[in-house]
Amino acid sequence: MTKSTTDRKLGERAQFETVKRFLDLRREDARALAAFRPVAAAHTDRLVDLLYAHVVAQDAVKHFFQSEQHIESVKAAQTIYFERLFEGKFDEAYHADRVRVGEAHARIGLGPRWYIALYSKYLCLLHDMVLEENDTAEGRALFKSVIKTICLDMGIAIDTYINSQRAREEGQADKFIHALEDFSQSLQVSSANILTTTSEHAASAQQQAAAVAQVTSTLAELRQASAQTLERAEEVLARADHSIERSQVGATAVGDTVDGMREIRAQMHAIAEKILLLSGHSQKIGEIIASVNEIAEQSKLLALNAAIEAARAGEHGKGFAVVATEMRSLADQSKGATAQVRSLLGEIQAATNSAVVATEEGTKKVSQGMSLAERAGHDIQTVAHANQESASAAKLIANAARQLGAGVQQVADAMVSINEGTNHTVAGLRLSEESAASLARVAEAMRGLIIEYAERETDAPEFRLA
Amino acid sequence: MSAPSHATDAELELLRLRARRYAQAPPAALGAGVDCLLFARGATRYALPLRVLVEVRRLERLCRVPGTRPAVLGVFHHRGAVVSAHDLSCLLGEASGSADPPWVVLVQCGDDVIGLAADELAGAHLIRDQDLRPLPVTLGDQALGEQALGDQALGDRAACFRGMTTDGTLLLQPAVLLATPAFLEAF
Repeated sequence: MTKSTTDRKLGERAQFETVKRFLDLRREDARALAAFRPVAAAHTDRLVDLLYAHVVAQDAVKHFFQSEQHIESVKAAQTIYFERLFEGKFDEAYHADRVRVGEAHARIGLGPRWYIALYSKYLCLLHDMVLEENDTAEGRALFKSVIKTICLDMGIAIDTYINSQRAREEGQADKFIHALEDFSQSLQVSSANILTTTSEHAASAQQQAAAVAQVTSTLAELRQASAQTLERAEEVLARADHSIERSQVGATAVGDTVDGMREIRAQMHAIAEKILLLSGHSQKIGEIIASVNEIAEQSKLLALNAAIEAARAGEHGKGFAVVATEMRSLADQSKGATAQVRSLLGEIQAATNSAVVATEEGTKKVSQGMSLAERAGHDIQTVAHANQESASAAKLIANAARQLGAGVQQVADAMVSINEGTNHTVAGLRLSEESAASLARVAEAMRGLIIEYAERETDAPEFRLA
Repeated sequence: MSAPSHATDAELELLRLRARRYAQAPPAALGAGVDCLLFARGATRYALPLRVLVEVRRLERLCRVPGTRPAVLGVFHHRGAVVSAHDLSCLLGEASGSADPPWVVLVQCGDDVIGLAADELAGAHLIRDQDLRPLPVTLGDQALGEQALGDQALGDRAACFRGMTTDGTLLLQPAVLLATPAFLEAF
């Protein structure tokens, strides 16, 4: 038992003695009650039955009883109580028992009105029972003692009930104050957190607004870059188409060149064959010239011998000498002519050989030219293919640039919306900051009120039975 | 013009002989000229009067004769007779021409005929007397193997030549040539 509880018990004990004196409850009353105990005990059961028959008939209180067993249990306890009233012992044990009963009534919510009504019914029944058998001065004095005892008992029970109620109310008020304090602290913490978070959100929103502005600027540059890319891609596409067209023209020209080179090669072959034929003829002419030259040589030799014979003939051979001279002259002329023809034939053969060599070189050059032309055609085809791939790539780039531009525009529009939303968010966060500050002030004011209420002076009970 | 101071005595003598040779008057007119066969053997061109010739033909199937003089190239068959082929290069002591000369000039030598080998035939030409010049003083140097002076160097063989034309052709004197034993005798 704590000191405060001990003090409270001592105070209640002292107050109990004071109330007994105030009720003028004396020893004579205790003796009278003890003397009447046997009579009372004889009627207690009937009194209790009558009393609880009346109680359970009341709608206002019958809900306190859960069953017949509960009623019988309560009636048994009530019988013991009534018998104890006539023991005449109003000591500390009696007081503790009465306090216990009061606390039980307080726990189940049985208020003093029903308590008093029950005692009233009991007194009335007891009045009839006492005065019916002993309507004398002694009987009336006994009934007065009973009234004092009942009043003492009711006072203890009612004080106990009131104290219990006040203790419960104080406990509830303390709980409420603690809850309010917790709520106030939570509210302060929450408002501080809200204020901090709101401030951070406001700063973040401002940073977001700045980032949105940067992104918007970057998007403008990106849109310009995509437009330039589109323009370049379209230029590349146009050039690639032009290159493809020129490549096709070049390929056709190369094909014509190759065909022309084939014709030239065929003609070169024909020329070579003709030149070889001419060379053969030249050789035959050379052989003929050699024969003619041999004939000329022989003619010259014959003319020389004729001249010798003419000289040996003396005067008779002079005419023959003239003939020999003419023959020698013709032979010389023939030899000179053959020499000229041989010279010319040599030049022709040299020219023919040169022509053969030139033809072979030309044929080789034509073959090389054909190879180069075919290679050029292949290269042009490769270039055309590359140009087609470039054109396809340029188309893809152009489409990508268009899509990029459209996407950038959509993103720019979205960024405008985001910017507007961010501005609204910033404005809302500012309002939230102000609200959080107001909430913090409210929490502070509430905390002051709670402290002021918790530190109030505990007054004495506003009502107490005298 | 004076002679070079460094000339030797032999050179001075040669110059004086050349001056006397060129200062001689041309020989007396021998007529309008003589028709000659011009041919070459080695590096020298020769001329023979047509009237002493028998025939000009190709030298074919030449048969070498061992032990003969260098001037005798060999023998060949001509119209049923065996004819010797001689080399005029040996007469001048020059380097021999082709070992297989293509031509042979047949010359009437008394009742016989001899052949003169020729590398080339230039034909028949009239050589006039006024076209003839004395033999050069240096002709026949290689034959003597020493510094010679014209006909002095050739000795008797110089008589085989009647003169030299302006184009350098040596006109032979057949009678003298065919009477020269060093040229005509085979052994």
